[in-house]
Amino acid sequence: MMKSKAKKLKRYVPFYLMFLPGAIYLLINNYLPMAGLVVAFKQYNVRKGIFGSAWCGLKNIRFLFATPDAWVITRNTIFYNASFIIINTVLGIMFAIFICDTINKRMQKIYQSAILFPFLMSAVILSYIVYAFLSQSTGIVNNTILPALGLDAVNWYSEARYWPFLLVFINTWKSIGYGSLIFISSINGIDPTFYEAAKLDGATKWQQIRNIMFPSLTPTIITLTLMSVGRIFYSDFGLFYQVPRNSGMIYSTTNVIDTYVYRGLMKQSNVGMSAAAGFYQSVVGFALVLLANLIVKKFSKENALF
Amino acid sequence: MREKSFSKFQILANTVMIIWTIIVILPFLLLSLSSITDENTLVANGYSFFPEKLSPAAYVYIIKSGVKILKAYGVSILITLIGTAVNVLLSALMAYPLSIKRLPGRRFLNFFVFFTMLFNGGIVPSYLMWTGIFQIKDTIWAQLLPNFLLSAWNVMMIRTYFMTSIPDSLYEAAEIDGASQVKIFCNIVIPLGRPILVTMGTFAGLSYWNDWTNGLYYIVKNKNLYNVQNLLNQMVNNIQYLATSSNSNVTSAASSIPSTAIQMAIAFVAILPIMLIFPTFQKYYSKGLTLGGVKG
Amino acid sequence: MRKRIASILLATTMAVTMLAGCGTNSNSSSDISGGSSGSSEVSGTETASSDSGDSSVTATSYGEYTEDNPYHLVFSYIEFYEQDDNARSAVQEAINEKMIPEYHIEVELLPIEYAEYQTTIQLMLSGGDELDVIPVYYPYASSWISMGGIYDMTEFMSTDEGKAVIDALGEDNAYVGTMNGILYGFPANKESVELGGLCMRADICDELGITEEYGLEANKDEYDGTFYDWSIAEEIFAKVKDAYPNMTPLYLYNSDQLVRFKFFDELVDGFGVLDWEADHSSTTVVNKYETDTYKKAVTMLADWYDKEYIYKDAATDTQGTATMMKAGNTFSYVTAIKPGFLAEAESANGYDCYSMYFGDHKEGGLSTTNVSFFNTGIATNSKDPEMAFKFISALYSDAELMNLWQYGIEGVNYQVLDDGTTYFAEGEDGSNYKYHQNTGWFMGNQFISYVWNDGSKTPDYWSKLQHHNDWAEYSPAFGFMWDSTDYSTEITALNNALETYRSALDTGSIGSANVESTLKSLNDALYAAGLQDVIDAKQEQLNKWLAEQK
Repeated sequence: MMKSKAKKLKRYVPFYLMFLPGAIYLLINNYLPMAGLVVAFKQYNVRKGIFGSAWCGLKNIRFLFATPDAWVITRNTIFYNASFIIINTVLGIMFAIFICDTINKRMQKIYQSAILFPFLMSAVILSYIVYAFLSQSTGIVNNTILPALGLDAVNWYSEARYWPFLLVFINTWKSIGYGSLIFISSINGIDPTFYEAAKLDGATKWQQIRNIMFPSLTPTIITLTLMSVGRIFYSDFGLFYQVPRNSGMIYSTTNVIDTYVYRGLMKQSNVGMSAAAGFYQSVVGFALVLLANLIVKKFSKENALF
Repeated sequence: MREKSFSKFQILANTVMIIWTIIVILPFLLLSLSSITDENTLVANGYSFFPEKLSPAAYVYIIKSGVKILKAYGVSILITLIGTAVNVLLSALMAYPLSIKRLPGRRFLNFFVFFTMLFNGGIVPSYLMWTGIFQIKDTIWAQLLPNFLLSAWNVMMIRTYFMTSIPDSLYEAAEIDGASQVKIFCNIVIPLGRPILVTMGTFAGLSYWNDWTNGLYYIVKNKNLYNVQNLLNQMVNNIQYLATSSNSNVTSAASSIPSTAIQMAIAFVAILPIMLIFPTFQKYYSKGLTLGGVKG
Repeated sequence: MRKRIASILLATTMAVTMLAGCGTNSNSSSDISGGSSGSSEVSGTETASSDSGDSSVTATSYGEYTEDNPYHLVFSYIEFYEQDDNARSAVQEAINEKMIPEYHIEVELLPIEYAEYQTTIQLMLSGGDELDVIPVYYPYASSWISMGGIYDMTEFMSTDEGKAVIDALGEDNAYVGTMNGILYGFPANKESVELGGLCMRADICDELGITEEYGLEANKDEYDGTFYDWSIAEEIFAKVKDAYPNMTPLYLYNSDQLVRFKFFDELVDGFGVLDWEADHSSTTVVNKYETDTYKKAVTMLADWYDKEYIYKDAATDTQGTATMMKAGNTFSYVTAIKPGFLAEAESANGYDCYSMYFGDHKEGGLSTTNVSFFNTGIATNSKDPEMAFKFISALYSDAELMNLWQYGIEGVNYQVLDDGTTYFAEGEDGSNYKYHQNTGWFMGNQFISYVWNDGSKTPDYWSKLQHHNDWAEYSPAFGFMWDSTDYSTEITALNNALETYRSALDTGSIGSANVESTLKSLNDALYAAGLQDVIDAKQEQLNKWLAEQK
């Protein structure tokens, strides 16, 4: 009995060995510095070091909850991340299916490049491009498009109500390629015999999508979503800071936790407070992801993350 | 009947994708046009698809930095190639065991990987470790080792793909044939996983190519180890300082530098190699070995 | 692999033990792991004075260092624009040819880019890297001191080196970089008063008769007590707008604003200020954004914005004055004017310009942070702060060192002209120079170095700058540095509240109709963020400081 268990385990040794190199890297690069998280609860002193510094309780984190802004930044962060998750998934799958179904291989290449290239643009450059369209004095929208439609110029950078749409659109433009490419690879991984069988059965395109593609995309969707939930209190700093050009008048719809922390601390140089903010973001993400994982487990044990 | 609905779908698909492609290309066109627009025209008239006056001044300025930029390209290319290769290999090695449903302790291992996505100690402890224990400061290792050599996110994506796209029956058949795990990994997992490995490899490569943080934190004295992003950031900062400051005697020289156009040119220079390489590289996305191929 | 890590760990431990053991000169330690292996003297700022009791320093004391065994000193500074690496190495060599025999110090230049300065210095302080002399930008002083990164230099002030610094800066300015009794840095010797005014296109002034009306002259930028009311500026803008409807009469952008010249002593961060304009001698801390002075300024700006005198995109623009002027459709911008300003502005803007001093002020107010903008201090990483201080002192008293660091090697990087000013060496200019820092305005004492001749500056330029400072009247709180360490929570919230409205108010972009309501929202947000607590704490610190001064 014991012997057979040992023998069984021995079969798995190669797996653990394969896992090992990556695990070592994660231990070094990620887990070792994690000890530094204690700085979030310390009055950091460089000469005493991270562990020697005096404890200061929750003082470093207080600033996140000090004002009514706490509600606004939390709301914005969650709203945008939730929209991004939903839109990137839905549109990502749609684009992936569209691209995979193009007969012309050359067009397929062009589409694939098109969805990926915006991913290459840095936030600063993106902010210039957006500004080129939206600027009041020289913007293309205000100078050319709106007059042509007989509409009045809009002061984009001082009207908060446009920004939820703008930011969601810009984010989609920039990052749709990421999800799409992953979905494309999943679709490519589907055994072609499934399609052949379906075609023989006379299935319509929609039936093929629903019965073959969706089921095989589900694990990918779940993994992506769960991982995004873990990062739900974090946001793409460049998108929310550079693209709205730090315009104060639109903070009510552009301020997220990351930009709030940056703006609060840019004139100070406080290691403890930025660590505390990160810690808070992580803890919330962690709690949410545990919950989400539990739910997933209930419905399909296979697809849970852990 | 069936054929007809099929082609209708394709028309829809192509129409949507063509519109999206145009939406994507327009800003890029604007970017490249701005980089060759005369600076004063750009500031006075704004960005335009029909610039009044063109000027190569921005590119002349970049070329003037000469050997430096070639060196930086060298660092970027070298690091991206090595980094991506190691990243893909480590990720695949790690993802394979995680995808084996019967592996004892799999849940814990999954959690071990996933947890690194949620929490990080911040830059100060990482800096202390990399510079104190590993002494990578101002060495080429600084561009390679921290942060990008393995990403938990990629591992999880690859794991999910292995789980769904490689049927267990295949492993079982191979094991019955007496194949070792290494052999299974090389002959089944890697070829069948090619679509996802290439995809995640692309993203790993992009994160190396686009990264400027390692240079910022760990390259202080030996600027020869700057990558393209570091060098271009340095240029942008120099130009911005000169454009907004009247505190310098070099401003007279600076007044001839096209500060806005140059940022566009710099952005263009940074992404151009990727835009050139990506299309030639694309065939590897879809042409993974099919299941039928392995079976046959 | 394991072996290598083990050996590195061993080496590190040994280094730490050695440093901790050798006693006399280890005010810092290379204790990177942050354990407790450092001795009790590790925390520089707290125990510095007790530590130096034994060393009776004199001008000739070089500690254990000799010409053959000089102290290796890392001098970090901001390199604002690109220098040639080889040329810099050559300059470093030239500096050492001088510094090693004279000071027993071997200098290593560590230039840091402007945009990377904060991150790099903070990491190097945390990492215990080799680092001696650092620039301290005043907003970071409070947190860097509280994290034990900056060495208190008070102990050196009675030495000859300390006296040399006081000689260069004057007693008041030498101690201006003091917070809670900790002397963290010395300011650069520079023009410190910010007298606000307009820089205007000369050709348009000539054409519209503005030149004649106000007696403007080319190259006239010295302040002689003449200033104009801002209503005059409005008249000028109206003329320009009439003649050139498509031109922007006044360019403002998101950072450099008119309201900066309304005189407050900002008391470091602007949250709780002294209303200089209302009362020169008041020491009552008030909310800047509720004062009439501030309200008057933003009301005027909003009115100008409505009249389209101000650049439409001012609230979000960051292109900078030179870029806009060069493009040819901007008439003027607001800036601080000082002797020599016009020549610099003209070369940057590509147009001949006139300057006019504006603002209802008789004298410029000189506050602590006007003077102590960038400060030269010692990192607690320094293995020998005494030697680091010698070097700092040399930056304030040794003209040769300042010339070398700023301009490079004579005959190679620059030449001395007949009138005693300097310019790029033969065949070089601003577009192809190899080494030219010209950073005396931010570290060290530029007044002892050569005057750089950019075409307009005369050999008496430094005295002109000093004379410019004479227009200043010291704020009653001059020398007071507010320590915000205990209020970082409030400051963070306040920064966010202010940023929400600042650029719109400061550029007039809100429009006249919204001034009242925006100011109210701003003040509500500030008080919600804890402004009153900050004002009270500031007042208390200020009162305490004032009492100590007597």
